[in-house]
Amino acid sequence: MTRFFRSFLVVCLLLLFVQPFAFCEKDDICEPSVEKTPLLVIQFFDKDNIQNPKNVNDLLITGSDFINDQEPLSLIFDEVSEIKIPLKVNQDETEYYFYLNYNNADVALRNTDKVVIKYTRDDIYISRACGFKTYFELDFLNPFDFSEVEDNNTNFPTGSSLWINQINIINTEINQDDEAHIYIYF
Amino acid sequence: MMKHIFTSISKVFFLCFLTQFCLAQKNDSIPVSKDSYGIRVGTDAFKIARSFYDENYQALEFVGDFRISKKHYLAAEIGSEKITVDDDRLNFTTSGTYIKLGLDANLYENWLDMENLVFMGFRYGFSTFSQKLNSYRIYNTDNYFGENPPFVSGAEYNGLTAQWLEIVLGLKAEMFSNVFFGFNFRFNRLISNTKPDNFNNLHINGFGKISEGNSFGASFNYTISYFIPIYKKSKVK
Repeated sequence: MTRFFRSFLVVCLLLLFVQPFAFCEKDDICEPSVEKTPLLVIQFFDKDNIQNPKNVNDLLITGSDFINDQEPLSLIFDEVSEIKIPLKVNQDETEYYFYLNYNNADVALRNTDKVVIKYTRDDIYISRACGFKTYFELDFLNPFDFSEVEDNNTNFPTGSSLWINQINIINTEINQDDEAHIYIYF
Repeated sequence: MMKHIFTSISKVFFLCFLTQFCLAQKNDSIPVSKDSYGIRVGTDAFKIARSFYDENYQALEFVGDFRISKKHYLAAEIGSEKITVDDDRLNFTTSGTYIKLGLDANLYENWLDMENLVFMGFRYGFSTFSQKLNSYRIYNTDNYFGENPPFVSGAEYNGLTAQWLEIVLGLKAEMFSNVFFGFNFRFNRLISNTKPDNFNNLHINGFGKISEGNSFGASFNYTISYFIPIYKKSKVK
């Protein structure tokens, strides 16, 4: 009886020793370092000096879904020439209100333009814990629209004219967010 | 509820094994005894029970072994399984069939004409299966637009195969005339598997759950089988 118990135990110990990580659940957590759905990267340039990057001041970006909320959920950027904003993964377009100088004492400088970004989506598998991520590809023929907003929302003054002068596509494929995808000149 | 009933019944059977073994050591007289040779066929009772109480699980496995010497048995399992896994970010169904072939060695010295086994063995396993991705969630870097409801997919990946090796450790005890109850632990190591495009094998029928970046697995099995005797041999030392 003792002989087989001994060999039984030896085998069990061997297995535990040889396969120490057999039962470690490595896939329970989606690591923060894992690449997920990329953001849209926009760089701003001076319309009068197109090689020079130009900082935006008090740029308030609000998704058009939220513009009629009491306190619209917004992304704020100040004194930067590069911004990164998310695209919708459940639709083929994202509409934002780009409100420049939202906090400026000079009310005349406050100006909102509406920007619509259009794309196709590709869902890519990441892992069990993370699920999927989405890669976007800007529409070749009609990747974006920018226009004046309606003059009926006091939270988003339309301003005298469009503050955005031009948008250029640098990269139609949005599958990373280290490098710029579009340049906006103003 | 069903799960608790089954666990309790399992505990009762486990106690019966131990009792059986203890009783076996008490008899003193030594008449001439012979080893029975034959084929044992049975089924995995845990899989059947789980198919009843778990609505995401359906499986049937047949087990068998064939004695080739005093201590060695050719062993095989064959089964089919359909399981739906509802994870946080993925919901998928894996269904397929598998076969495992190998050898068991009885480490236990039976007294008189007892035919119990405490065994160690190995298996080579092979499975053909298919996967269906039912739904998934997208992981956003920035949660500005909030969490969306899961996307419905329905993508099917057919004709997948996998191969693996197993080490088995277990017990089989004759509860009453030719009827054996057994349980075993298995430690599995995946050798190869064909992967679906834009997805992964997260569960393989016959192998079990696959952890990311890991080729090891384990399982616990519970069997009830019937021994069909063919001939007897005198006990040889």
